[in-house]
Amino acid sequence: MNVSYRKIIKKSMKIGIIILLSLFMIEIGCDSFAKQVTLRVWKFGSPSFERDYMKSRNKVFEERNPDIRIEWVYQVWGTKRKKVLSAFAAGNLPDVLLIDGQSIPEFATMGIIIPLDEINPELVKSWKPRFVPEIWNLGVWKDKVYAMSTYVDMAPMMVYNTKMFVEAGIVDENGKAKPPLTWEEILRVAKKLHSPPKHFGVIIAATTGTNDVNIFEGVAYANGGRWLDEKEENIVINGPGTVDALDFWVKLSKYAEPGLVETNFRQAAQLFFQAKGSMYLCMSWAPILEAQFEIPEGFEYKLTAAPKRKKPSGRFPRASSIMTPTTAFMVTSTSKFKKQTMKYVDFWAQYEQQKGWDGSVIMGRIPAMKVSFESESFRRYYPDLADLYKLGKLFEGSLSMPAFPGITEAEDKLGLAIQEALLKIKSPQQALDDLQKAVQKIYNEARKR
Amino acid sequence: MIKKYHNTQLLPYILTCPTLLFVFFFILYPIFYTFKLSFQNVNFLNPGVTQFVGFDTFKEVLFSPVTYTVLKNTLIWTGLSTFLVIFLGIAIGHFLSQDFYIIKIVRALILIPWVLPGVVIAGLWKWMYHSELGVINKILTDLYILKTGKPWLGSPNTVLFAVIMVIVWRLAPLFSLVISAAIQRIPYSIYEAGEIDGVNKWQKFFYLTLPQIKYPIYAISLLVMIWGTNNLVLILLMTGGGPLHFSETLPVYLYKEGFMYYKASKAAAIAVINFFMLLGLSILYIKILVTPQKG
Repeated sequence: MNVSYRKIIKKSMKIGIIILLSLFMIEIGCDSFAKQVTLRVWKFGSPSFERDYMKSRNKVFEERNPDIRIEWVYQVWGTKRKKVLSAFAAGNLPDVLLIDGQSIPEFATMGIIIPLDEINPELVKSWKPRFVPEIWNLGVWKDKVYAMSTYVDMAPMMVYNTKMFVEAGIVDENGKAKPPLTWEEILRVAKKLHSPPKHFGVIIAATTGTNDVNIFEGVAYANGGRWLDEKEENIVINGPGTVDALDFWVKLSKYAEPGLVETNFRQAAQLFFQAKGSMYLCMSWAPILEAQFEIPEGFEYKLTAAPKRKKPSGRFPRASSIMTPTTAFMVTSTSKFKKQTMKYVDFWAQYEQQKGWDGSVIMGRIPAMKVSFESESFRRYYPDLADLYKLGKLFEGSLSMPAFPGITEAEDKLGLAIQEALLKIKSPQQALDDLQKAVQKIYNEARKR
Repeated sequence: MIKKYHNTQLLPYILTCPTLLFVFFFILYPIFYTFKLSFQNVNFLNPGVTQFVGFDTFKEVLFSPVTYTVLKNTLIWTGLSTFLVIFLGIAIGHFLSQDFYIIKIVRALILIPWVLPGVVIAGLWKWMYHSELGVINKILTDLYILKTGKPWLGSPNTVLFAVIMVIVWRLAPLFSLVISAAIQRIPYSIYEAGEIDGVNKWQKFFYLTLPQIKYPIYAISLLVMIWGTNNLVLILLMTGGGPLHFSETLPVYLYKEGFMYYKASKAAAIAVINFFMLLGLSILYIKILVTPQKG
């Protein structure tokens, strides 16, 4: 019986080795026959119509470059940094990441991404003149170009229900809905339009999610608040600019939906677009979300800049907006096909691909290329923004969204501090003082590298 | 003869080799690596640095005020969810052990919470609980039980209990099916003897049924306790541990430290604490409930 068992083992091992060798030979054979490189691209976030647009352009790339195949994988926005970190730890990063510019300092520090201008300096240099300088610089960190942007999202913005405004008599001299311009005005308007449970004066998203925190950061930066001091050595988030912004947030929350700490940006948008709130403090992507909800008949709204304090109380200059590219092309350090990835990124650095973001295909994004702002489509869909761009004022006072190593933990803790103030567990000053101590420690650790 | 004896001795080891290798690579090595990591200062924002720091990471975890909130939440989460699963599981299991036609249909449908993926359940309940968008508040306000929608997941007072209800909803059906099967195996002669002695319905349940199904109850209760304690998906997706750590349990805390804040060693230290906590609870459980019964 032992002898026959040994025979079975030997025979099984022989068959196993033959199968493995055959599979290996087929794999090599396929690769050498096709001579085709597969680029793995991870796209984080974006609604389906935006991703469909990008996939259609990928097909054009593949037609023009038959030796390169694009393996396009959609990943959920909310898991972006965790997903990339897990992949990095497992040695399973894709070749290209399409992700937010705020992640650049952390990813660069961890060695996840590499500067594009170290792979092909001449090519990257040739892209620069095509882009709006303020947007181009969002992909630069420590004087190296890590990302090529396609569009940016800006904060803080506001959408308001024009019908509710007109019905409540909040109109200008032409009888059109008049949005509030200052903090005092928005508090008055929110109080007037607050009619629970039918609808709320304002919708606020206050989870610890990045989008919700970015909206608040926009309000704080517009009031002269900052994360870092001028020398970028100290955390100054507990300065008067941010404290007063948080105090304003607490006052405004009186006219918001009761579950604001459980409501994220998407749910908040849903509440607004289903006429459950007269205003929603958001980012420039609000029109993008509209397409995902069932809008009641006769619903009309407008997007505008969020109200600001009459005079900033923070010591830093007022930021008219903060912005970040949320589909920035980055090349990972583990990519074995650097030449092909740069070919792919170069394809997307052409106006032919980026023109969809001028409003002609995708609404609600601020395009990255200069020529997009001069196009007929942009003027048709965003006449006010086109005029501002022509006057050189569109990006005047705009800053990058906060980005430094440790920003993920810092923003999560800012989200907690906001909740502490909203739930009246701590005063705004106390919550931000505690935050400052915690984040200073994180920042000092990160700066040791 | 020596060769035959030698082959007979080696055979058990050869046959158990694949399992041993699996246990070593997928269970023992990760446990060892986690322990090792917990004594270092690995942070992904500081790649390449792996210094041995002794118990410093454990001190950082144990001296953090967040840890105590998390431990308290974990004990409430584990204790209350296990108790409710057992209580409801026995009640539903007893009902399912009856012999009506409709029970057959109920037995099939009752597994739905168990078979649905955790991500789907989390998304579903997160929507259902929402203060304005959720169907629960809609029903309660339409029935005039509430005046306005309550933020079940947004209130520190209700968030943990709201998520506990979800895990109970998920685990109780499975528990009930095991109990129902165990009850159906009880010999009818025991009930006949009871009837002769004049027992009523409640006495039948407490003195005849329950003692006969105690071992399945012990076994699956321990599993429910461990599954519940280690459950990450429901809390992470429904509340993220918020608001303000009020629903954060050890697995969520561990996940956030490791994957959001890049602090691998701190996450490992929390995992070690979780491991010993569960080990302690399991040993206590077995010593208090199981061993005396066997004696």
